[in-house]
Amino acid sequence: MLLVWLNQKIDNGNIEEEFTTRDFEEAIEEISDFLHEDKSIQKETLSKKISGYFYETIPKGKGYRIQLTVYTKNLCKLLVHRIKPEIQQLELIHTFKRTLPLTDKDLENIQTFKYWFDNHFLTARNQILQHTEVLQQTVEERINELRTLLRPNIENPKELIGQFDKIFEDLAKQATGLANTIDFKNETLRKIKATKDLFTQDTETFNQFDKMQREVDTFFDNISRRISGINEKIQLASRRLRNLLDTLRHKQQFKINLEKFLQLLLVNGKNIKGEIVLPTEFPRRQIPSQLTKYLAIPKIDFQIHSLAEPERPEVDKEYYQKQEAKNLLMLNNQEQTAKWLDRIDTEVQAGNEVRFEEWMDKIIDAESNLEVPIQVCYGLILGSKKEKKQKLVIEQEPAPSSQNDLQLWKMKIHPTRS
Amino acid sequence: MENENTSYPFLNSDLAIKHFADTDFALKQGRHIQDFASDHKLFVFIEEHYERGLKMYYEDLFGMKLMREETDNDRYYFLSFPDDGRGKFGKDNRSKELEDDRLIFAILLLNIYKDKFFEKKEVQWQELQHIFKESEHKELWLQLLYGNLKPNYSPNEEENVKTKVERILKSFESLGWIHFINQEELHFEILPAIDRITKLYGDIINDVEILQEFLSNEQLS
Repeated sequence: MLLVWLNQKIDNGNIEEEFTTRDFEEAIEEISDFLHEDKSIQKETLSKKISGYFYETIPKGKGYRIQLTVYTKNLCKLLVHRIKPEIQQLELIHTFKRTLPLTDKDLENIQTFKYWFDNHFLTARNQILQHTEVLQQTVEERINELRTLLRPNIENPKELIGQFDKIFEDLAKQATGLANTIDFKNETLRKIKATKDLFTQDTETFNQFDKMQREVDTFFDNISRRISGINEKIQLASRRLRNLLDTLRHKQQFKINLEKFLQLLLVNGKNIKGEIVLPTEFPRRQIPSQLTKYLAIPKIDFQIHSLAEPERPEVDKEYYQKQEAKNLLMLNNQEQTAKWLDRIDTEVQAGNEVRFEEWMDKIIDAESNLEVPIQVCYGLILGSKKEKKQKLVIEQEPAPSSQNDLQLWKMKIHPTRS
Repeated sequence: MENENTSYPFLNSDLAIKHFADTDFALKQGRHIQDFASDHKLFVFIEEHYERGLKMYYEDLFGMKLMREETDNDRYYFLSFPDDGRGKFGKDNRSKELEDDRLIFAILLLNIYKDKFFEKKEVQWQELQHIFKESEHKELWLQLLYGNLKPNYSPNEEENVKTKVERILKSFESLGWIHFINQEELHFEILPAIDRITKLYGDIINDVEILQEFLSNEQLS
């Protein structure tokens, strides 16, 4: 701050370019006053701290004088510019008409091109960027100020709108001036690209050239977009300003009510289980909204089941009855077999000898079929093998008729003594 | 031509063949059509035929009003209910209530839209976060969005709120009230049709004190 203060005093002519130690000490006191700091500040210590980089002591006559370094002056300039930007009133195009354009001499070789790049292009680029930044900042500040127009308590809005209109008109001129500097873009880029072949003799030269060309290209592209953005903002604000006057009062009142309504919604709104809800008595409005798609998966009720029964096969009644009769007969034969086996067993248990050929005749007479006596015979053979209290004997003898080569098998069961 | 419609001659135009169906679907789904991006063609079609039968078509056949509104020289169209009912949109699934969270956010966006009267109406998620966490009504916003007041919220809570806001904004995009510049980053532009909320709630906004008093009395009783 001390350095900026000193620099300002030099600029304003309050002290000389080469100022005295007394001037330096007074400046410290003034800064202390400004900052409400203790005046017993160590001036010599401070002086030592900032000497060297920030100022030089040079002999003059019998004494010494102090001079700010170039570095300090540039630093002060940058700081002041950042804090209190000023838009140059002169349209930049006049400056760049002399600096930006490329001459054939500039493109003679890589050294001359580099000279143009370092001393003309980079200087112009920094100025344009600086100017653009300031313009952007100013436009945004003015737009913020414009919002005050919508506040209800402003006095003489008509005059205020007129003043803003003038400000934006001037800003538009600045933006146009800036945009005009970019007119050099096409011409400059065309010239650079046209001489590309001159710089292909070795890789190092080409890389140097290519790097510079890309930087020029990127800069113009970047600045075009920025200026277009600034212009758009200025145009929109100017247009709105012109439309504002007729409806200003209404807009002001509506804006106040709108803010009150929003506050009312926020005060009355509740977060219930993550959902934002207003009181039930709050007025709600409908809007047309014909749905064309499901907003949820359709609910499927599994209680409803299909009543369709499986298809029954066609029944062959005749076959079914035959099978039924056959099964019944088989069942009947088994029952009867079991009964005859029981009776024979009772006979054997009673100690009597059983001659099966006799029983067979009885069974055939009673049952009228051969199946049951055969099953009984089979059952007796199986049963006698397990039963130790009886013995089964099978005898073979020739058939009574000699015409047939037949043998009679006679089976008898008799109880054993053990 | 044999099939030429004489009651609504606009239906015979080339523009109608190209754009009527899309316009009709959009309007019936509640969309507000303005001269913006993909709606441009539909807007041109409505502009061309609004007074040449299109307005009457919705009035006669659907009992609805095809409205033309303007805000700061920006025009937009939408379907609105007649004064005495809801026309053919009175049946189920043809209209819906503007949900409470949607209403609050619509009023917030309208407020931002009016604030940005002199500039582009672009909004970024950071700006909304600033309103929720740094503005005059930050406590009310935090209570409403997060359900409690804390110095810091967990990443999960933050994500939930962002998702909630995104869902609301997506519904506004369907209505034609905003346009996403980058949906993932919640960067969007508020469109002139957000002004519709002033038509829906204009009576309440203009007499907001009455509602305020009514709600205060309700709370007291």
